[in-house]
Order: sequence, then C-alpha cells, then structure tokens
Amino acid sequence: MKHDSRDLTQSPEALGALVRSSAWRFDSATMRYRGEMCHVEDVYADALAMLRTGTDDGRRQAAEMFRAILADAPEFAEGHFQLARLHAQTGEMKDAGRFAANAAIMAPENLNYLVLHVAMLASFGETEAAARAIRNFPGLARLDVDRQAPEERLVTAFVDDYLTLVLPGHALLNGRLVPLSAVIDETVAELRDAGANPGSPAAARLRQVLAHHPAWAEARFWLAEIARRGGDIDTAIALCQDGERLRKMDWPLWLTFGLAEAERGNIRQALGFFEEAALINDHLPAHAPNDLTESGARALIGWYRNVLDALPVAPGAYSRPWHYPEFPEIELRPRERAHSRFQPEEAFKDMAGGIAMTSAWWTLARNDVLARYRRTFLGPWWTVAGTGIGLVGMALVWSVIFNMSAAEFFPYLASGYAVWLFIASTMTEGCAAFTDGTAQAIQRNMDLPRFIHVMRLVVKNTILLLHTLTIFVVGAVIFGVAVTPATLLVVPALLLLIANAGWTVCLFGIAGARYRDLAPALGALLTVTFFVTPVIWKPDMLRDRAWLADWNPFTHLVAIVRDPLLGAYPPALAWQVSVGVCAAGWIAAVLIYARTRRRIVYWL
Amino acid sequence: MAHIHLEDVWLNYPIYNSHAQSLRSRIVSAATGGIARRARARILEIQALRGISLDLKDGDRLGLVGPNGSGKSTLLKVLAGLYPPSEGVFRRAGRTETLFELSLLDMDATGYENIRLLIALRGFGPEKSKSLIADIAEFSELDNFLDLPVRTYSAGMLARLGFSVATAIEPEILLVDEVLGAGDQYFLKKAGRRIEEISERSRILVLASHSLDMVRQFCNRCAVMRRGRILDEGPVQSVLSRYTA
Repeated sequence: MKHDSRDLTQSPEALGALVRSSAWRFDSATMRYRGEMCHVEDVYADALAMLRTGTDDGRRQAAEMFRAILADAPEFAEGHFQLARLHAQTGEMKDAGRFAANAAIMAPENLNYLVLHVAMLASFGETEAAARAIRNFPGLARLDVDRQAPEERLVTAFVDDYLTLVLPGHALLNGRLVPLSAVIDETVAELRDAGANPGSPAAARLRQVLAHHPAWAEARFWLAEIARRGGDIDTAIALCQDGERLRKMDWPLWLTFGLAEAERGNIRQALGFFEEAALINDHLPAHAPNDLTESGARALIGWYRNVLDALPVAPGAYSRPWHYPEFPEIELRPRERAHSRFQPEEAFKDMAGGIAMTSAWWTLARNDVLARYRRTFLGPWWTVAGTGIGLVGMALVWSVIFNMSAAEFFPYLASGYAVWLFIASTMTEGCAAFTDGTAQAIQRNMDLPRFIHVMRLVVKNTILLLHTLTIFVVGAVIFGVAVTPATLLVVPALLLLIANAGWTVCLFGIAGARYRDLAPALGALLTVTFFVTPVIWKPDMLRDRAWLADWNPFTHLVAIVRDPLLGAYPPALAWQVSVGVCAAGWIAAVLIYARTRRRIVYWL
Repeated sequence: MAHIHLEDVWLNYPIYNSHAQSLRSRIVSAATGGIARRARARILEIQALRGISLDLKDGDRLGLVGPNGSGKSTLLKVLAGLYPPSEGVFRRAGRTETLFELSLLDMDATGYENIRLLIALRGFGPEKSKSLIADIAEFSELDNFLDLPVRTYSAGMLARLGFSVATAIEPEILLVDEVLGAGDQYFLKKAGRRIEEISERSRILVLASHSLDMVRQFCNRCAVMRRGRILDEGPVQSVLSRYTA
C-alpha cells in the first residue's frame, strides 16, 4: 500500500466514502507501529486486550495504540470511536466529542457510534444537532424510539436507553455526561441534606437513575431503605421484589427486604433474607431460619434493625465497611425432629392400602424371584436344588453324629431348615426393604403406600418357602412320614409364620434404612443364632440345658410349622410364644411405622 | 376435575450423612450421656421450600424455571406427594403421574418386564395390562429393544419409555422433571403432541426445565424459582421476558 502518498487530512465524510468504496479495507490495512510495519487489525486486537485489563495503565496504553492507528490509518472509524470512549471516561469531553463525531460521520449506520455522538452533543447543549443525528440514523425504524417526540425528550430518552451500550455506568444527567457512581454520591448527599425525605427532588433523581439502570443496587437500596425508615413498607418491598426478580440483589438490599418483611410479620421470610445477605457478606451471622427460636429470631431482627438504622444516609456509606454493633446472644432452637409426628391412622391407611395393592406386590415379588435366576434353565428351582443337595449332605453327616436314622433325621432337618431360611431371609432382606434399588426407585417417583415394599418381601420369601418345602415333601414321601390329623395344623402355622414375617420386615426395614450398619451386624448374628436354634439338633438333646431352647423364640416359630409337618402336635408353649411374639411385634411395628413412615423418604 | 392447591408450604429437608446414619454413633452418644452427642455431626436441615403458594386448575400447564438448587425438583416431589410439607397446606385432586428420573425399576430386567412392573404398580390387572403394554410399546417405538435389559438403553430411550408409561393411562396431573430433554427432536415433537392432547382435555402439567424453549413449547404459565421461593409467576410469555431480561 502506498501509504505516504495518501492525504491524511481528509474530512471524515471523505474518509467514510473511501471505506465504503472498499478502497480502504480494515483487514488488509497496514501501519507503522514503534518503527515496524504492522497490520492495523493486530494493533487493534492488542489495544482491545489492553482495555480488557480494566486498569488505568491499560487504558492509557490502549489510547496510545488507537492514536498510532489513526495517525497512519485515519479511515478506521472504530479507532475514533474507541478514543472517544476513552476520553469520555477520563472527562476530556472536547476530544471525546471530536472523535465521536468523526466515527459517527464515517460510519453513519453504526448504532454505537451514533449513541456516543448524540450523548456528546447533548452534553454540549447541542440538542438540536443531537436530535437531527438521531432522526437521520438509517436504522431508526428498528429502534424503539418515538421520533415524533420534541427534540429534548427524544434525545434524553434515546441516551437513557442506549448509553449503556457504549458507556456502561454512565448517565446523562442535567446535561452532563457523568459516571453513575458520582451521580449517586451526589444525589445521596442531597438526600441527606433533604433529611432522607422520599418526596425530595434527590429521591426523585434516584428513582430516575433506577428506572434507567435497574441493575444499580445502591440506588435501589437507598430508595428502599428511606421508604422503610419512613414507614412506607409497601414501597420498600416492591423495590426489593423488583430487584430480586431482576436478580440484582446485594446484601444490604436483602437486609432491607428482610426488615420490611419482618415489619409485616413475615418472620420466616425475613430470616431467609438475612440468610441470603449472610451468604454474600461474611461479617453477618449465618443462622439457618430453622435454628432460631421465636425470641432468637426477634433478637436477630433487632440486631439487623440496629445495623441498618445506624447506617447514615451519606455518600459512600453504602460501599464503606459498615459498623456492626455487638452481636447479642441468640437463642437457638433445640434440635427438633422434622416430620416426627405420630400418625397412627395414616399408618393404618398406608398398611391397608399396601396390602390391597395385590397386583403391585405380586408382580414385584414375582419379578424378584425370577430376577435372580434370569436366563437360567431351572429358574427358582435352583434354590431348591442347592438347598436340597446341602440338606442331603448335612443329613448324611449329622444323622451319624446324632446316631439317628436318615428316615427320622432328614424330614426333621428339611422342614426345620426351610422355616429357618424363611425367618433368616425376612430379617436380612428386610433391612433393605425400603432401600433396595427397586424400592428406592418407586419411592422417589411414585406416591404409593409404602407398605407394598414390606408386602413384596414377605410374598417373595413365602414363594421361596413353598419352593424349599418341596424338599421336605420329597423326603416325606421317600421316608414315609405319617400324615395325621395334626398335619392340618400346618396351615394356621404357616399363616402365623408369615404374619410374623410381616412385622419383621417392616421393623427391620425401617431400622435398616435409618441405620445402615444393621444389615451387616445382623448377618453376623444370624450365624450364631442358627446354631443355638434347634434346626439341626433336637431340643431334648440339650438335656438339663433345655431352657436354652425354650427361651429362644425361634425354637417355637420353627416348631409350630415343623411339628405338624412331621405329623405331631406342636407344644402349647410354641403356639403361645409364636402368637405372643406376633402380637408384640405388630404393635411395635405399627407404633414405629406411625412415627417414621413420612421420614423414610429422607433416609433413602 | 384435577386441582392442586399449595398454601404457604415450607419444606425442611434433613440431610443424613453417613455418621448420623450409623448405629455406632447412636450407641456411643447414648453411652456417653451426651458428651459425644455434642461432637456428633448435626443432622443438617435444608430449607428446600420457603412459603410456596400455588393454585393449579384444569388446563394449567406450569413451567418451573430457576437455577440448580432453587427447589424445582423438590416442589415437584411435593406435588407428587413424595415429600410431605413440613408446614402449610397441600391439597391435590386427580390421578397423578410423574416423570422424574431416567431410571426404571429394575435396570437388569427387560423393557417389557419393567413395563409390566410399572403397570402393576398402578394397580391394573392382567387384562388391562395386556392392551396397555401394546400401547406403550407402540408409542415408545422401541420395538425389539424392549426385549433387552434396560441397562443397555441410552438416556433418550429411557426417556421415551418413561414418558410412554407415564402417559399411557392418561393422567389428570402430569409432573415432569427435566428428563424429557434427553429425548431426540422427533420424540420431543411426539411427546409435545401427546401433552397437548392431554392439556386439551383440561388437565394439569407441571414441567421443570432449564430449557426455556421447552417451557415455551409446553406451558402456558411459568414460575421462576430461586432458593426455595417463587419469585415470579404468571403467563409464560411475560414471566419469561422478565426472566431473560
């Protein structure tokens, strides 16, 4: 490019025409910078990077670069615009005005350039020229501007609406282009002199600032705060609500919001807002609203009122460190148990509803039984096969040790062991009744009676019990176990056993959900229990220590099913203990279920 | 006639950590007469909902928007009856279906088995369930995939199946949390038509989403939530224009 032969003193109009005619192109233009030939776009990119540092030094260096660009490439309108912005920010309005005019004339279709130009003209009092610039803007139809408005109003509205595009944090007030923070400081000083009167011109000016700069938290705070101090709670709350809806809250505004709500008696909302403030400002005491007693809440509100009331209406008071009075002793609520209300009717309704949902628990239980043996040939009969082989092996060994015939020992072992397996698995699996994957998925997604999870496990284990009992049946046929009238008692006995499983699963399910250690602990205990319960051995083998078996409730639960299967009447004590345990267990289960049913969902 | 009414509902949500949940900590604190209890980690309680009031009637399709942790999902769970409110009034009339998460009941079971479970949980007998299974299979368009274990499904396929089940028996109240977004464009359109059909028959939909487009597409009302409160509620267009301002 023959750069030296160009006339660098052309008018902005001529420069603009040059750019539009494509005789000058930004992406190919070169310039001299610090003695070297550079692309304009590279220097421009560096200058923008300097601007982004946000420091005074960065701005100085950027200005230097823009000036260097314009010295060699005055066609670059953006350079004029950026220099204009930089000058406006440092208050060199004359230079700013000149560069802004250059940019606007060179690129008349650019809204940013127009806004800055108009703002500068307005700040020089040239309202007429400013209005003309707006009306001549080619893209005016696309803007939300009332072009029929009188000149002054047209210009003010236009600058108010669009200035934030080019000079964020600035405003045109009383014909001056100034940083908003300066305006607010000045206005707050006036407000102080006016006795913090919401009707004063200073307050009106703050409202004007806020209308155009809704993000200006400080203006919003002072307006809301003087409204609150003046007892105009509705206005204070409306201002805060707007701020919240626009997500432009700062902690002082949360405090004003909280006190205003407290004034209305909405104590809990107030405490929530104080908590919001405390999340932003570490100096404030963080109290979860739930932790405070009524008097504690009063004390906290009082303290915050002192903090806000002590804040003088004065410029800079908002952003200076605040003064916090001595923090009072706040009374905290003793740990209250959430949702621990005792609701027996609800619990009964839930239990009845759960039992009534037959298709639900039946399908779940069936799926459980099938799931373990998915894609196997034998399916649930694998349990039978496994247990059967084990029982044959045990019978072979133990019948010799106990010096009993296989015909006597095998049916005894097979029947007792099936019952024992049922009891043990309702206890161990019961621990996960509510926390097992499927149960959790249901409880997290569907509003169903929680008791179906109990039913599901009881039914599943009953199905498996009926399977394992077939081993006994086979043994009974082989060894010719006598069928007597007493055999009929197996029906009530099984029902009683299943009823016992109901409360077991329910109680262990609740405890297992709350205390996750229960399941492993139980696993360890059950092994011991198996050996002290007469399943392999007979109670009369204990001789003078028969009480050991008598005091063990499992002995009786096993006996009521096993004895009828073997054709004998179970002892009366076995019935009594089984019924007694069942009754006591159900009472405990209902009582505890009534207390915890609502809470279980939080334990998952 | 479906109806949901919430009046000043507060929900405190206890967070149990592993310490508070262990039996040992309970036994230790009982045995040491409270000394250890003081050292014991307190059960954290989070105020998940703070004074929510809502009234939804037939034909209301409410979109819930707001940042993560603002209480959208918790509110949905209250509406579903899963979380009982700690305080306040909650009334609901109408058969409710939920679509909250992208997991089915038994991830190892096949699609068909899960459908059968889900239908059974809704209390339908074998006859009704046969025709329902056919409907669901057809609407979800998962075809042969339904014979595979659902753990092999993609998020989009889970969303399809979940939505198909939830809307197979037309609910009076449908609560949807985000998950629908996992579906592809084609299925979203299809789901949109079904939701429109449902709402044409004057039913209630509540949808929590980060996608404002989805809220615009499916909802006629919108509530902006933040930190457990409803900041803004009203017709979807005006609320969203304020929200995105």
